[in-house]
Amino acid sequence: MTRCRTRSILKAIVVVLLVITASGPKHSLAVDAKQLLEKKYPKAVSLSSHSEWLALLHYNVSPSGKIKKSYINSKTFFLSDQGQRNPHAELLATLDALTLTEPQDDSSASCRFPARKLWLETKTDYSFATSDCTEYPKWAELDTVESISMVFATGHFASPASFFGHNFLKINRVDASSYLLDKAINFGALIPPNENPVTYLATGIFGGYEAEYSAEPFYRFLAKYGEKDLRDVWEYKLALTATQRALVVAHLWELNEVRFPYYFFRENCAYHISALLNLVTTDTFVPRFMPWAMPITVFDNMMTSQVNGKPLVADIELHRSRRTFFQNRFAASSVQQKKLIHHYALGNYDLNDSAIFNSLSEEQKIWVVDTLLDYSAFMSKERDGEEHKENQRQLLIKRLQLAEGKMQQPRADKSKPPHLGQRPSYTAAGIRSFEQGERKALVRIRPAYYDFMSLDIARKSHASFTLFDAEFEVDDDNEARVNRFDLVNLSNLNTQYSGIAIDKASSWQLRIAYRNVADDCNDCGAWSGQWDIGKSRKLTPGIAVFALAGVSLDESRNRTANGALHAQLGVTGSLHPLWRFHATANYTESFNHYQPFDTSFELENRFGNSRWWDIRVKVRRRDKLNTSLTAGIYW
Amino acid sequence: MNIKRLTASCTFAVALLVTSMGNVSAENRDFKTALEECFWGLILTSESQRGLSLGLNVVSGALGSYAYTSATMSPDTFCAEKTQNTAKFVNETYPKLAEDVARGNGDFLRTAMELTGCNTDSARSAVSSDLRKELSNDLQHVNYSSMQHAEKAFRMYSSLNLSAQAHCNV
Repeated sequence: MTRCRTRSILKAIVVVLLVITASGPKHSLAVDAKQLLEKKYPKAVSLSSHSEWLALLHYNVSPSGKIKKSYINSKTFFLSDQGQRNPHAELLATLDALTLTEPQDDSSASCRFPARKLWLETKTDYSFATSDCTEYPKWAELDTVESISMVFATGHFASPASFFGHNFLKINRVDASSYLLDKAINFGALIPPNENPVTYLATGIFGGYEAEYSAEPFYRFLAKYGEKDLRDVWEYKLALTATQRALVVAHLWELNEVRFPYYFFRENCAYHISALLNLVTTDTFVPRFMPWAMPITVFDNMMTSQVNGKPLVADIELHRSRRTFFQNRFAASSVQQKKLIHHYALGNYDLNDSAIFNSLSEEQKIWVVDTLLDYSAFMSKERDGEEHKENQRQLLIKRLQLAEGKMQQPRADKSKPPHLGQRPSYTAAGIRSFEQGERKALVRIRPAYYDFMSLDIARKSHASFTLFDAEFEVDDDNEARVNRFDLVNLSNLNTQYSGIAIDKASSWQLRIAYRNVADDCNDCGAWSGQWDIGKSRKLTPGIAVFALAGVSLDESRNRTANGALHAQLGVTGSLHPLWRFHATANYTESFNHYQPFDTSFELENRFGNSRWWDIRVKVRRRDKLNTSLTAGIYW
Repeated sequence: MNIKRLTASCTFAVALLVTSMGNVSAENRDFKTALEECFWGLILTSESQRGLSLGLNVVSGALGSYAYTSATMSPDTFCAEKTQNTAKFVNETYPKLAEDVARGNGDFLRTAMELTGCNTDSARSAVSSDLRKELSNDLQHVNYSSMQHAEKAFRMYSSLNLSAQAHCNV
């Protein structure tokens, strides 16, 4: 190599180095400035790996404690260009910004990040520059904050996004009488309007949507959940100190218009709303090792969590849906009032014509009219809603004619809070015996969520919603097979809830599953998609009968598509607190001429009413009669 | 006093009376118009209202026609944040609010009054009484059941604000 060429190469290297140095990140602190800050605020700098600092920046921390990237997408949330991945850099940049005396308006770091400032000041004895914030104090109204609640809206079959329920935060004001105006903090995906269902499902599951926290008045949530969806709303009030409340509220201000990626199963409302609790406690509210986060798990874990040496949950309150209001009031009505309400529900809407109504006292009439207002309100969501709108008008006229006064509520309420319900995942093991004496070991694993045997606390009664429910059999030769794999199994009997024979909703069932089509064949599994529709009626308060009919598209044994018509009669319910059962008789008319029709009978029993375990006995007859006995745990 | 002077005095007095009545009506009409513009401008810019025929800046409902414009929402106009909050609350909670009005009591009625600044018991009692009268009148109308939700809510909102203006320190 000539000397000239070597000199050119060296010059080029120097130029490249100069360019790299000059085009370095815009907001990197110079080494001197960093050292100055570290020297001036040694206590603060040592906090960069503190769990609360990591929670303020929404870092993803692995179960082993490794700090990964922040969940936050919005670059404006970070003061350091490395802030998304480096909590130490972000802390130094925050300290640098907080010490600036300019600007002093809402664009200052003090006003944009009041939670960071508050946290640093409480963890150390430092005081930072004050600013003339106007927007933050107006939004936060800290002097009106009395407490903070975590809220759960029970699940709903109207949309897949609602199957698991929903949770959000509520900031409660000092004047409890106007709780309707309390600020509710929601975490939700930003979904384009008129999104088609397939895109919605795929993008929600595999990613592509962004999400953000948003604040709305609480009445809006009650209108949606309690009035429109007929879902109960449970409020768990948290035992936080004034400083902790201020920290949470201030952080919510910092999260205004900040974007997160959204994943339906894991990085969802349960995950990110409960993450706010990590500002005040190191407890875990969603399982670290699971690929999913369910709202119900958050509330379960909250009940065993402590803060400030006391239980995290101070109180629990129920905001009843219209349906629950009606059910409670109907149950608490006298025999005469029940008769009158039943008569009304059968179409006798003119109360003035009713001898029973006219014989009631003023107070009893008020009770009946208030109960019927609830009935008409939730029935107006049904198909013949127009009829009930006219009924509502007549009932309001009648109520105006009666004495003024607050609506009376029945004292007893059978509703139980969601943390007492069945835990969401299930594993069972046992034995299956066939009529010829053959026996097989049985293992079942179900990640989510509940079936007809589950305790019906804080969920729809006479309904089933399971995902990835797998059952394995191992025979005497240690040959294992998948007996059944339900990708999704949704069943909603819509059994009349009101106790009066007027609920007109249909029962339905959707199942996509892989199932073994013959008891004596190890390689006879086939995929099937089935849809049934029907009706259900209550026999007694604890037992319902149902009839369903439908169609399925099946993968046949020779791998060509096949189909069948189905009919099912069933009875389900509970005869004793420790015994639930679900029995069905099934008839299948196949389009496959090799197997024209098929009948089967199944009776499943659950013993025990624990939310942690059960014993199940199942009797089934298809090709062969078989009985299985399993012990299961809920987790 | 001679007849001519008496006639002139009476004419003058009547003229004064008519003018003052006209002024009071004009004030009420301005306030009512402001309520219409605020409510409909807010609701119609934020959601579609099926069933209402929308002419240019006019909403035709079952019980009347209402003028609106979308250019009324700013802190300096009548339709400031506080008034918008009341409009949204009434629109979104109307069924429950109507029931509370019929009872003369309840969380939704109390919240509506708080939003309009009615904080004393006597003021609330007067407003509640007005609302019950207005609701009763509306319910008697044969078209009430077919009335769109937004129109029912607007009429409640209008009655609430008019009554609050009369009885509360707003």
